[in-house]
Amino acid sequence: MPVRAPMTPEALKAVDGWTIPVSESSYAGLASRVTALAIDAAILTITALTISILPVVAWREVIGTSPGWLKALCGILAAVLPWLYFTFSWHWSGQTAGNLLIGIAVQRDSGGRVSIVQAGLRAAIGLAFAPVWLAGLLGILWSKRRRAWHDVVFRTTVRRVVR
Amino acid sequence: MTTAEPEVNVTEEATSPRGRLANVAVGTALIATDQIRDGVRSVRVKAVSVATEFVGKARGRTDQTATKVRTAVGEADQRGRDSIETRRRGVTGLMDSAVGGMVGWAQVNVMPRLVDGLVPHLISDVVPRLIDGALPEIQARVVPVLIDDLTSDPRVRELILAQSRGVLGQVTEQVRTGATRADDRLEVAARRMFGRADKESNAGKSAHDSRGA
Repeated sequence: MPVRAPMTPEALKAVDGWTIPVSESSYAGLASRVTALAIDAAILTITALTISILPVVAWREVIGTSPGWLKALCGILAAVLPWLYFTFSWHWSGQTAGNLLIGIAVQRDSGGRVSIVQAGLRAAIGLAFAPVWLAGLLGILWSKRRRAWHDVVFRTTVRRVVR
Repeated sequence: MTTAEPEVNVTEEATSPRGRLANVAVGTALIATDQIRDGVRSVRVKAVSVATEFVGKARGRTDQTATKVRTAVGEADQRGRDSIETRRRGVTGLMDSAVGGMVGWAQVNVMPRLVDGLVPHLISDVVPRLIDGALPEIQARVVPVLIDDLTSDPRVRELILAQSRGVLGQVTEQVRTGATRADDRLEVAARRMFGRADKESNAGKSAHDSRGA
C-alpha cells in the first residue's frame, strides 16, 4: 500500500503560476522523451541507410554486380538494427544515445536495471506498434511518475540521471 | 814467570818523578776539560732561557702590533665602504634626476618631432621594403615551424580538446535544460486544459504518492 505524505511547499515548483511536485521532475517528461526518441531515430536512420546501402555499393564498385544474398543480409541487418540498438542500450545502461544526450535513463519500476527480456519486448512492441507507442507517450502528462502506457505495461520508468 | 816482569816495570814508571808529572798533567787537563764543559753547559742554558724570553716578548709585541694593524685596516675598510656608498648614492640620485629630466625633456620636445618626421617615411618606404624582404622568408621558414610546434604541442591539443568538450557540454546542458522546462510546461498546459492533475499537485493540498519520490 502506498505511503501518503503531506506535500510541503518546498516539494513544489512553480511553472506559469501552476505548481508541479518536484518529485515528478525527477522523471523524464514528454518533451525530453520525444527529443531523445527523435535523436535516436535520426541516428538509426543514418546508420540503417549506411548498412543497407554502403556494402552493396562498395561491392559493386570493387568487385562487380552485388549478389542477392548481400542485399538481403544488409536489409535484414538494417531492419534488425533498431531492435538491437534499443534492446541492448536499455538493458546495459538504460540509455540510448538520445537518452544519454538528454540525461534520462530507462529503469525498472523498482529502480533496478531493465532485464534483457523486458528490454527486448519493450523495443519489439515499440517498433512494431510505433503509432500506439507514440500515443501512449501522452500518458506521461497525467501520470504522477510520468509513465507512458508502455511503461505501465512493461513496469518501467524513465528517470532523469543528470540534473 | 815471563808475564809478571812488565807489570813491575809499569808501576815503577808511574811512581817515578817523570810519571808523576805526566799524571798531574793528564789530571789537570781532565779537570780543566770538566770545568770548561760545565761552563759551556751553564752558558748554553742561560742563552736558551734568554732567547726563549726574548722570543716570548717578541711574539707578544708582534701579536699586539698585528691586532693594531688589523683594527686599523678594518676601520679603513669600513670608512672606505661608507664613503663609496655615500658617493654612489649621491651619484645615482644625480644621474637619476639628470636622466629623468633629460628623458622628460626628450619626450616632450624631441620624440614627437622625431616620430612625426619618421612615421611617413617609415610607412611609405621602410615598412614596405621590410615586409617585401621578410615576408617570403617568414612564410617559407617561420610559419611551418610555428604550425608544427603548435599542432604537436600537447598543451595546445589539450586546450582545443577542452574547448570542444566545453562547447559540447554547454550545448548538451542547454538541450537538457530546455527539455526539462518543456516537460513542465507541457504538463502544466495539459493539466490546465483537462484540469485533473493540478488537483493533485497544486498548492500542496493533496497528498503525494511517495513511490514517485
